[in-house]
Amino acid sequence: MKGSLDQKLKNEIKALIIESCELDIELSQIDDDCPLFSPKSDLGLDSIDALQISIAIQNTYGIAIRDSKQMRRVVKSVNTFADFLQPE
Amino acid sequence: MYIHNYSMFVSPPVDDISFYKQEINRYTNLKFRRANKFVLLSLAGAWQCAHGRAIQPDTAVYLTTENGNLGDTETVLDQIYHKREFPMPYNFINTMSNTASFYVAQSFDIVGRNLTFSSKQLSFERGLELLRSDMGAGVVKDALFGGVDEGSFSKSQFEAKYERSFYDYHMIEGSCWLLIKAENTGALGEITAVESFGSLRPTMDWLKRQRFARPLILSFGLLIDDGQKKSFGKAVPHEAQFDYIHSCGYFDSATACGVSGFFDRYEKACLVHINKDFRGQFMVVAVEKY
Repeated sequence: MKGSLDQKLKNEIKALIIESCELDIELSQIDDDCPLFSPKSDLGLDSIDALQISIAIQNTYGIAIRDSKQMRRVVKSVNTFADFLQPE
Repeated sequence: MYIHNYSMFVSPPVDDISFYKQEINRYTNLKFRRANKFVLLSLAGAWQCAHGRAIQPDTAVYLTTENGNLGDTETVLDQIYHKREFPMPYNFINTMSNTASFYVAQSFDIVGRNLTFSSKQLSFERGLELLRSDMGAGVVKDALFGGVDEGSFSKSQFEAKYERSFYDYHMIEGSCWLLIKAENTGALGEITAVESFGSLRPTMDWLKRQRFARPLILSFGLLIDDGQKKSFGKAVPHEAQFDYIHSCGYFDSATACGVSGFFDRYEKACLVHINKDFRGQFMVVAVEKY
Protein backbone atom coordinates (compact mmCIF):
# COMPACT_ATOMS: atom_id res chain seq x y z
CA MET A 1 0.00 0.00 0.00
CA LYS A 2 1.31 3.44 -0.93
CA GLY A 3 2.17 5.55 2.11
CA SER A 4 -0.30 8.28 1.16
CA LEU A 5 -3.08 5.70 1.53
CA ASP A 6 -1.85 4.49 4.93
CA GLN A 7 -3.52 6.64 7.61
CA LYS A 8 -1.50 5.05 10.42
CA LEU A 9 1.79 5.98 8.74
CA LYS A 10 0.56 9.49 8.00
CA ASN A 11 -0.40 9.98 11.65
CA GLU A 12 3.06 8.72 12.61
CA ILE A 13 4.63 11.30 10.29
CA LYS A 14 2.45 14.10 11.66
CA ALA A 15 3.42 13.10 15.19
CA LEU A 16 7.10 13.15 14.15
CA ILE A 17 6.72 16.64 12.67
CA ILE A 18 4.87 17.93 15.74
CA GLU A 19 7.33 16.41 18.17
CA SER A 20 10.56 17.24 16.36
CA CYS A 21 9.46 20.80 15.51
CA GLU A 22 7.97 21.37 18.97
CA LEU A 23 4.63 22.46 17.50
CA ASP A 24 1.75 23.09 19.85
CA ILE A 25 -0.98 21.61 17.62
CA GLU A 26 -3.04 18.41 17.16
CA LEU A 27 -2.50 15.80 14.40
CA SER A 28 -5.80 16.83 12.83
CA GLN A 29 -4.48 20.36 12.26
CA ILE A 30 -1.98 19.12 9.67
CA ASP A 31 -3.69 18.52 6.37
CA ASP A 32 -2.37 15.55 4.37
CA ASP A 33 -1.91 17.65 1.22
CA CYS A 34 -1.04 20.98 2.77
CA PRO A 35 2.45 22.24 1.74
CA LEU A 36 4.51 22.00 4.91
CA PHE A 37 6.99 24.74 4.08
CA SER A 38 4.93 27.18 2.08
CA PRO A 39 4.50 30.75 3.34
CA LYS A 40 0.77 29.99 2.97
CA SER A 41 1.02 27.15 5.48
CA ASP A 42 -0.28 27.81 8.99
CA LEU A 43 2.54 25.72 10.44
CA GLY A 44 5.14 28.46 9.98
CA LEU A 45 7.98 26.03 9.31
CA ASP A 46 11.26 27.10 7.69
CA SER A 47 14.56 25.64 6.52
CA ILE A 48 15.81 24.98 10.06
CA ASP A 49 12.67 22.96 10.71
CA ALA A 50 13.32 21.05 7.46
CA LEU A 51 16.77 20.19 8.77
CA GLN A 52 15.30 19.18 12.12
CA ILE A 53 12.80 16.91 10.36
CA SER A 54 15.48 15.36 8.15
CA ILE A 55 17.57 14.40 11.19
CA ALA A 56 14.44 13.09 12.92
CA ILE A 57 13.72 10.93 9.85
CA GLN A 58 17.26 9.62 9.96
CA ASN A 59 17.06 8.82 13.68
CA THR A 60 13.57 7.29 13.46
CA TYR A 61 13.61 5.45 10.14
CA GLY A 62 17.35 5.11 9.49
CA ILE A 63 16.98 6.94 6.17
CA ALA A 64 19.43 9.73 5.40
CA ILE A 65 18.32 12.34 2.84
CA ARG A 66 21.54 14.00 1.71
CA ASP A 67 20.25 15.77 -1.39
CA SER A 68 18.50 19.05 -0.59
CA LYS A 69 16.36 18.88 -3.75
CA GLN A 70 15.18 15.42 -2.80
CA MET A 71 14.51 16.69 0.72
CA ARG A 72 12.33 19.47 -0.67
CA ARG A 73 10.35 16.94 -2.73
CA VAL A 74 9.98 14.51 0.19
CA VAL A 75 8.74 16.96 2.79
CA LYS A 76 6.46 18.88 0.45
CA SER A 77 3.42 17.47 2.24
CA VAL A 78 2.49 14.63 4.57
CA ASN A 79 1.37 12.60 1.54
CA THR A 80 4.70 13.01 -0.33
CA PHE A 81 6.51 12.22 2.89
CA ALA A 82 4.47 9.03 3.37
CA ASP A 83 5.00 7.93 -0.25
CA PHE A 84 8.75 8.37 0.17
CA LEU A 85 8.82 6.18 3.27
CA GLN A 86 6.45 3.60 1.83
CA PRO A 87 6.48 3.69 -2.01
CA GLU A 88 4.36 0.55 -2.48
CA MET B 1 25.01 54.21 34.89
CA TYR B 2 21.47 54.59 36.14
CA ILE B 3 19.23 51.67 37.00
CA HIS B 4 15.69 52.15 35.73
CA ASN B 5 14.28 48.73 36.51
CA TYR B 6 15.32 45.31 37.75
CA SER B 7 14.07 41.75 37.71
CA MET B 8 14.69 38.75 39.86
CA PHE B 9 13.46 35.62 38.17
CA VAL B 10 14.70 32.67 40.23
CA SER B 11 13.32 29.19 40.67
CA PRO B 12 14.34 25.73 41.73
CA PRO B 13 15.68 23.84 38.68
CA VAL B 14 12.74 22.84 36.47
CA ASP B 15 13.10 20.47 33.51
CA ASP B 16 9.73 21.21 31.93
CA ILE B 17 10.31 24.23 29.70
CA SER B 18 6.59 24.99 29.57
CA PHE B 19 7.09 26.53 33.03
CA TYR B 20 9.35 29.19 31.51
CA LYS B 21 7.03 29.70 28.54
CA GLN B 22 4.17 30.40 30.96
CA GLU B 23 6.34 32.91 32.80
CA ILE B 24 7.19 34.70 29.56
CA ASN B 25 3.54 34.68 28.50
CA ARG B 26 2.75 36.81 31.53
CA TYR B 27 4.52 39.65 29.72
CA THR B 28 4.26 38.91 26.00
CA ASN B 29 2.22 36.84 23.56
CA LEU B 30 5.30 36.09 21.47
CA LYS B 31 5.97 32.38 20.92
CA PHE B 32 9.46 30.92 21.27
CA ARG B 33 9.01 27.52 19.71
CA ARG B 34 12.61 26.47 19.14
CA ALA B 35 14.07 28.07 22.24
CA ASN B 36 15.62 25.86 24.89
CA LYS B 37 15.64 26.22 28.65
CA PHE B 38 18.56 28.66 28.85
CA VAL B 39 17.04 30.90 26.19
CA LEU B 40 13.64 30.83 27.89
CA LEU B 41 15.23 31.49 31.27
CA SER B 42 16.99 34.53 29.78
CA LEU B 43 13.77 35.76 28.18
CA ALA B 44 11.75 35.33 31.38
CA GLY B 45 14.10 37.60 33.34
CA ALA B 46 14.56 40.13 30.54
CA TRP B 47 10.82 40.49 29.95
CA GLN B 48 10.14 40.78 33.67
CA CYS B 49 12.74 43.58 33.81
CA ALA B 50 11.35 45.43 30.79
CA HIS B 51 7.75 45.15 31.95
CA GLY B 52 6.08 48.55 32.01
CA ARG B 53 9.15 50.31 30.62
CA ALA B 54 9.64 51.75 27.17
CA ILE B 55 12.52 49.88 25.54
CA GLN B 56 14.27 52.06 22.97
CA PRO B 57 15.08 50.50 19.56
CA ASP B 58 18.83 51.03 20.07
CA THR B 59 18.92 49.32 23.48
CA ALA B 60 21.91 47.01 23.90
CA VAL B 61 21.79 43.52 25.40
CA TYR B 62 24.56 42.33 27.71
CA LEU B 63 23.96 38.78 28.86
CA THR B 64 26.48 37.63 31.44
CA THR B 65 26.69 33.96 32.34
CA GLU B 66 29.15 31.56 33.91
CA ASN B 67 28.05 28.44 32.07
CA GLY B 68 25.82 29.54 29.19
CA ASN B 69 23.77 26.98 27.34
CA LEU B 70 25.09 24.09 29.38
CA GLY B 71 22.08 21.78 29.07
CA ASP B 72 21.98 21.79 25.28
CA THR B 73 25.74 21.60 24.96
CA GLU B 74 25.63 18.38 26.97
CA THR B 75 22.79 17.08 24.78
CA VAL B 76 24.69 17.84 21.57
CA LEU B 77 27.88 16.21 22.83
CA ASP B 78 25.85 13.18 23.84
CA GLN B 79 24.25 13.00 20.38
CA ILE B 80 27.62 13.22 18.62
CA TYR B 81 29.89 11.12 20.82
CA HIS B 82 27.66 8.61 22.60
CA LYS B 83 24.77 8.08 20.23
CA ARG B 84 27.00 8.75 17.18
CA GLU B 85 24.18 10.68 15.55
CA PHE B 86 24.02 14.07 13.89
CA PRO B 87 23.09 16.65 16.52
CA MET B 88 19.50 17.81 16.28
CA PRO B 89 19.59 21.25 14.61
CA TYR B 90 17.56 23.00 17.32
CA ASN B 91 19.94 21.70 20.00
CA PHE B 92 22.97 22.64 17.91
CA ILE B 93 21.75 26.18 17.18
CA ASN B 94 20.96 26.73 20.84
CA THR B 95 24.52 25.88 21.85
CA MET B 96 25.78 28.98 20.02
CA SER B 97 26.94 31.27 22.77
CA ASN B 98 24.93 34.32 21.76
CA THR B 99 21.65 32.59 20.92
CA ALA B 100 19.94 33.69 24.13
CA SER B 101 20.98 37.34 23.82
CA PHE B 102 19.88 37.24 20.18
CA TYR B 103 16.45 35.97 21.22
CA VAL B 104 16.19 38.72 23.82
CA ALA B 105 17.04 41.40 21.26
CA GLN B 106 14.74 39.92 18.62
CA SER B 107 11.83 39.65 21.04
CA PHE B 108 12.06 43.37 21.89
CA ASP B 109 12.83 44.28 18.28
CA ILE B 110 15.97 46.10 19.36
CA VAL B 111 19.15 46.48 17.33
CA GLY B 112 21.73 47.79 19.80
CA ARG B 113 25.01 46.13 20.71
CA ASN B 114 24.46 42.48 21.60
CA LEU B 115 26.95 40.63 23.79
CA THR B 116 27.14 37.39 25.71
CA PHE B 117 29.86 37.66 28.28
CA SER B 118 31.57 35.21 30.59
CA SER B 119 34.53 35.59 32.93
CA LYS B 120 35.18 32.97 35.58
CA GLN B 121 33.19 33.78 38.73
CA LEU B 122 33.11 37.48 37.91
CA SER B 123 31.02 37.49 34.73
CA PHE B 124 28.44 39.95 36.01
CA GLU B 125 31.03 42.36 37.40
CA ARG B 126 33.29 42.21 34.32
CA GLY B 127 30.26 42.72 32.11
CA LEU B 128 29.42 45.87 34.06
CA GLU B 129 32.98 47.09 33.50
CA LEU B 130 32.50 46.62 29.78
CA LEU B 131 29.14 48.38 29.81
CA ARG B 132 30.67 51.26 31.73
CA SER B 133 33.31 51.75 29.06
CA ASP B 134 30.75 51.40 26.26
CA MET B 135 28.50 53.98 27.93
CA GLY B 136 31.51 56.20 28.60
CA ALA B 137 32.44 56.04 24.93
CA GLY B 138 28.86 56.95 24.04
CA VAL B 139 28.22 53.82 21.96
CA VAL B 140 25.51 52.55 24.34
CA LYS B 141 22.81 54.71 25.93
CA ASP B 142 20.38 52.05 27.17
CA ALA B 143 21.10 48.43 28.01
CA LEU B 144 19.30 45.35 29.23
CA PHE B 145 21.96 43.78 31.42
CA GLY B 146 21.41 40.28 32.79
CA GLY B 147 23.03 37.51 34.77
CA VAL B 148 21.65 34.14 33.73
CA ASP B 149 22.55 30.58 34.66
CA GLU B 150 20.80 27.26 34.78
CA GLY B 151 20.88 25.29 38.02
CA SER B 152 23.19 22.60 36.77
CA PHE B 153 25.24 21.40 39.72
CA SER B 154 25.36 17.90 41.07
CA LYS B 155 26.63 17.49 44.63
CA SER B 156 30.00 16.22 43.47
CA GLN B 157 30.46 18.95 40.83
CA PHE B 158 29.63 21.71 43.29
CA GLU B 159 31.86 20.39 46.04
CA ALA B 160 34.77 19.77 43.66
CA LYS B 161 34.52 23.27 42.23
CA TYR B 162 33.91 25.32 45.36
CA GLU B 163 35.19 23.10 48.18
CA ARG B 164 32.02 23.82 50.15
CA SER B 165 29.29 21.52 51.34
CA PHE B 166 26.52 21.19 48.77
CA TYR B 167 23.97 20.89 51.58
CA ASP B 168 24.77 24.35 52.92
CA TYR B 169 23.23 25.89 49.79
CA HIS B 170 19.86 25.88 48.11
CA MET B 171 20.52 25.47 44.38
CA ILE B 172 18.36 27.52 42.07
CA GLU B 173 18.50 28.85 38.54
CA GLY B 174 18.10 32.47 37.81
CA SER B 175 17.76 35.25 35.32
CA CYS B 176 18.18 38.64 36.97
CA TRP B 177 18.29 41.74 34.81
CA LEU B 178 18.81 45.46 35.12
CA LEU B 179 17.57 48.12 32.72
CA ILE B 180 20.54 50.50 32.76
CA LYS B 181 20.56 53.90 31.09
CA ALA B 182 23.01 56.76 30.78
CA GLU B 183 20.04 59.06 31.45
CA ASN B 184 19.11 59.60 35.11
CA THR B 185 15.55 60.91 34.76
CA GLY B 186 13.18 58.42 36.35
CA ALA B 187 15.96 56.17 37.64
CA LEU B 188 15.50 53.96 40.72
CA GLY B 189 19.18 54.17 41.53
CA GLU B 190 22.64 54.06 40.06
CA ILE B 191 25.79 52.01 39.84
CA THR B 192 28.30 54.23 41.60
CA ALA B 193 31.41 52.05 41.29
CA VAL B 194 32.73 48.98 39.50
CA GLU B 195 36.27 48.36 40.71
CA SER B 196 38.78 45.58 40.13
CA PHE B 197 41.67 44.66 42.45
CA GLY B 198 44.51 42.17 42.32
CA SER B 199 44.21 41.07 45.95
CA LEU B 200 42.45 41.59 49.27
CA ARG B 201 44.59 44.48 50.60
CA PRO B 202 43.85 47.10 47.88
CA THR B 203 40.20 46.09 47.98
CA MET B 204 40.14 46.80 51.69
CA ASP B 205 42.01 50.11 51.22
CA TRP B 206 39.53 51.23 48.57
CA LEU B 207 36.59 50.34 50.79
CA LYS B 208 38.01 52.29 53.73
CA ARG B 209 38.33 55.42 51.57
CA GLN B 210 34.69 55.42 50.49
CA ARG B 211 31.97 57.63 51.94
CA PHE B 212 28.37 56.65 51.45
CA ALA B 213 25.43 59.02 51.29
CA ARG B 214 22.96 56.44 52.57
CA PRO B 215 23.02 53.49 55.00
CA LEU B 216 25.43 50.87 53.72
CA ILE B 217 24.56 47.25 53.05
CA LEU B 218 27.38 44.78 52.39
CA SER B 219 27.04 41.61 50.37
CA PHE B 220 29.54 38.98 49.26
CA GLY B 221 30.09 36.49 46.49
CA LEU B 222 30.36 32.77 47.16
CA LEU B 223 34.17 32.64 47.22
CA ILE B 224 34.56 35.32 49.90
CA ASP B 225 35.24 33.31 53.04
CA ASP B 226 33.94 34.08 56.54
CA GLY B 227 37.25 35.61 57.68
CA GLN B 228 37.29 38.00 54.73
CA LYS B 229 33.65 38.92 55.34
CA LYS B 230 34.52 39.82 58.93
CA SER B 231 37.50 41.91 57.81
CA PHE B 232 35.42 43.83 55.29
CA GLY B 233 32.69 44.30 57.87
CA LYS B 234 35.20 45.80 60.32
CA ALA B 235 36.73 48.03 57.65
CA VAL B 236 33.60 50.03 56.99
CA PRO B 237 30.59 50.99 59.14
CA HIS B 238 27.52 49.32 57.71
CA GLU B 239 23.91 48.78 58.61
CA ALA B 240 23.52 45.15 57.53
CA GLN B 241 24.93 42.28 55.52
CA PHE B 242 22.64 41.04 52.79
CA ASP B 243 23.15 37.29 52.48
CA TYR B 244 21.29 36.88 49.20
CA ILE B 245 22.91 33.49 48.55
CA HIS B 246 21.18 32.04 51.57
CA SER B 247 17.97 34.01 51.29
CA CYS B 248 17.44 33.46 47.53
CA GLY B 249 19.59 30.43 46.72
CA TYR B 250 22.74 29.90 44.66
CA PHE B 251 23.31 29.84 40.94
CA ASP B 252 26.50 30.76 39.14
CA SER B 253 25.32 34.28 38.26
CA ALA B 254 24.07 34.93 41.78
CA THR B 255 25.70 38.39 41.91
CA ALA B 256 22.95 39.57 39.56
CA CYS B 257 20.44 38.25 42.07
CA GLY B 258 22.26 40.11 44.85
CA VAL B 259 21.92 43.46 43.07
CA SER B 260 18.29 42.90 42.07
CA GLY B 261 17.53 41.51 45.52
CA PHE B 262 18.99 44.65 47.10
CA PHE B 263 16.64 46.80 45.00
CA ASP B 264 13.76 44.57 45.97
CA ARG B 265 14.47 44.54 49.68
CA TYR B 266 16.04 47.87 50.68
CA GLU B 267 14.94 51.50 50.45
CA LYS B 268 17.24 54.53 50.18
CA ALA B 269 20.44 52.60 50.80
CA CYS B 270 23.82 51.82 49.27
CA LEU B 271 25.03 48.33 48.45
CA VAL B 272 28.65 47.30 48.22
CA HIS B 273 28.97 43.85 46.73
CA ILE B 274 32.39 42.20 46.98
CA ASN B 275 33.28 39.15 44.95
CA LYS B 276 36.42 37.31 43.90
CA ASP B 277 37.50 34.65 41.47
CA PHE B 278 39.64 31.54 41.96
CA ARG B 279 42.80 33.50 41.14
CA GLY B 280 42.19 35.89 44.03
CA GLN B 281 41.14 38.85 41.88
CA PHE B 282 38.56 40.94 43.72
CA MET B 283 35.78 43.02 42.25
CA VAL B 284 33.50 45.50 43.94
CA VAL B 285 30.19 46.77 42.63
CA ALA B 286 28.63 49.68 44.49
CA VAL B 287 25.00 50.57 43.94
CA GLU B 288 22.82 53.30 45.40
CA LYS B 289 19.05 53.05 45.61
CA TYR B 290 17.35 56.44 45.76
